[in-house]
Amino acid sequence: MLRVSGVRQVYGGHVALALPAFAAGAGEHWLVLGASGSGKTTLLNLAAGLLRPSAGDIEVDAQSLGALQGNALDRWRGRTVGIVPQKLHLVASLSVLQNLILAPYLAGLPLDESRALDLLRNLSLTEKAKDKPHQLSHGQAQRVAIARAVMNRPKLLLADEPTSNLDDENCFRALELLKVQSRECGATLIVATHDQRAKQIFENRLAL
Amino acid sequence: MNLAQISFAYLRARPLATALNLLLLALGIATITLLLLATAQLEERMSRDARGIDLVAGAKGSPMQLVLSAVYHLDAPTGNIPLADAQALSRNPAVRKAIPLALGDSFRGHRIVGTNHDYPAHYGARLAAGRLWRDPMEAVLGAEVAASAGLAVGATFTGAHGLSDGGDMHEQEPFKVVGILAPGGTVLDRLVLTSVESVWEIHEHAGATERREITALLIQYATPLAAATMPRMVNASSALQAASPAYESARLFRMVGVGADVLRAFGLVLVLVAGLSVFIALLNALEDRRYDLAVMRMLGASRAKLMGLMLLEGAVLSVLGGLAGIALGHLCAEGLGMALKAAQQTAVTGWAWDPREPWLLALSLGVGVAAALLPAWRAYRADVAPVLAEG
Repeated sequence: MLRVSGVRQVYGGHVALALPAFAAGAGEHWLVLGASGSGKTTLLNLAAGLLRPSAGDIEVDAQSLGALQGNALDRWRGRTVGIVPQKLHLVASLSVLQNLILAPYLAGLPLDESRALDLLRNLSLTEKAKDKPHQLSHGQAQRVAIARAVMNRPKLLLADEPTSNLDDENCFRALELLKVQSRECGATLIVATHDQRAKQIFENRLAL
Repeated sequence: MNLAQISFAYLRARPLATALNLLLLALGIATITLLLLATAQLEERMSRDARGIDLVAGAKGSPMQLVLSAVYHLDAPTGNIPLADAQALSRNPAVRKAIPLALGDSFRGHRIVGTNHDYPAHYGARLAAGRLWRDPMEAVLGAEVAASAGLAVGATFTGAHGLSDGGDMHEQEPFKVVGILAPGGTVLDRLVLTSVESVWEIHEHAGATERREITALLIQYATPLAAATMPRMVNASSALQAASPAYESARLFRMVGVGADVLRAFGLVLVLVAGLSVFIALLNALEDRRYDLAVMRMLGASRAKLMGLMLLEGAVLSVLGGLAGIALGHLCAEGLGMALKAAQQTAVTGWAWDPREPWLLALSLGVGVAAALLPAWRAYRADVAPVLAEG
């Protein structure tokens, strides 16, 4: 499903990052562990096609990302990859529901409002549908970000430090939610974190 | 969901900035709209009033004053001319039509014009009620006069000496209303028409038993060649001067036009300042929004789509501002028209469109889109991954 081979990032003439070869199968849940600066976020950005490797190749669902350019790459990302960024980045001027609808709209997919409402119900956010993101608690905002990431039923779900600033209870709840949602759309889940607590519930781990 | 909805959501999220930008754009466009409407309608109205009148013959003085007083009934007359001279001029073979005008009295600020039936016929006036005058002291009211005085056919009224309100009343010589003209959008709307004899009768009874005189003669040439010879011929005679309405009103518009040009330039400056303001607003918005734009790319939006979003926002803002400005301009024109109507001046209305108005909308749109270009280009160029990582 996700295959990373020989990837190097070169900044200013020297190798800043060399990722180990790594492959994650379809539907697998992986934890990428490492201190900050170890390249976890870079790995996620590379897998999403948001960054280009200086050398090496990345394949997602048998598609080599090096072969995709410009609009085609954006379009591919919108339809194939769901991303929960560390800073969530919900769109402040849109309502919670509109934030979810934004995902299929920008990916050029049919605007499935009933899926958005289903997701909000599953995440107990129904009554927040018309609210703006600033009216949400951090936990609620994170659930909205996860819902947005799975709106288009991605094949690859990427989450960057989803447990930072969360207490134990919420930490496990967030990770569980990611697992449940990725299972629901049959997506491969990659969680990048430095949070050692996460180790307990992931069997596949990659240390950077 | 579409780009327009997202643009609107962003504009709504910054109500103060959006309102200020709209206001700035609207003020600029409104200034230009008002100028377009006012000058176009004034010019239209003045050319309609002067249509078919090639020359005005009257007493010596300022030619512009003669045209303003005899054609547009705005200024005081230059004086009177002997009837005999006017009749001699009327018989000239180069003259097709010569309409005598005898001025001197008014009714509630509306001029009482002694003339013949050629005068209403010249403007193609139709009667709304009654008939034209036959005997002395019969009068026909223009539509505005009848409406403002509330007089109907059969009513009587007395004229006042002089052209403005407040002169001595000619109490012994009441006029009888025999007809009311339908509104025609010409100078006739503001006039009281009667026979030249009525005017003479009033003033002879008032004690002024001078030689018979009229105030001016409106002349239409029988041949275009007359334009070359007739003015010189009239001016050479000792008592008369000739003035061309076309020439004098063009001269007037050249003088007034400088002021209109200054105002137009002022309106344009307002529009450009508004454009600058939209530019700054969008640039700031872009700064606030780099995360949103990065997230949109993350969700699969192409660079072109984000660029379109920024351009659309500039366009939405400028079209709304332009529409508001045009509406405001029409409102101001109507207000100006009402103020002028109270002063019994040539009317301006906001309920008329100028064919150049779509261009104003285009100007507004152009300014808005131009202001959005740089922000749009920056949105196009922005790199996603580093932006997502900060925050």
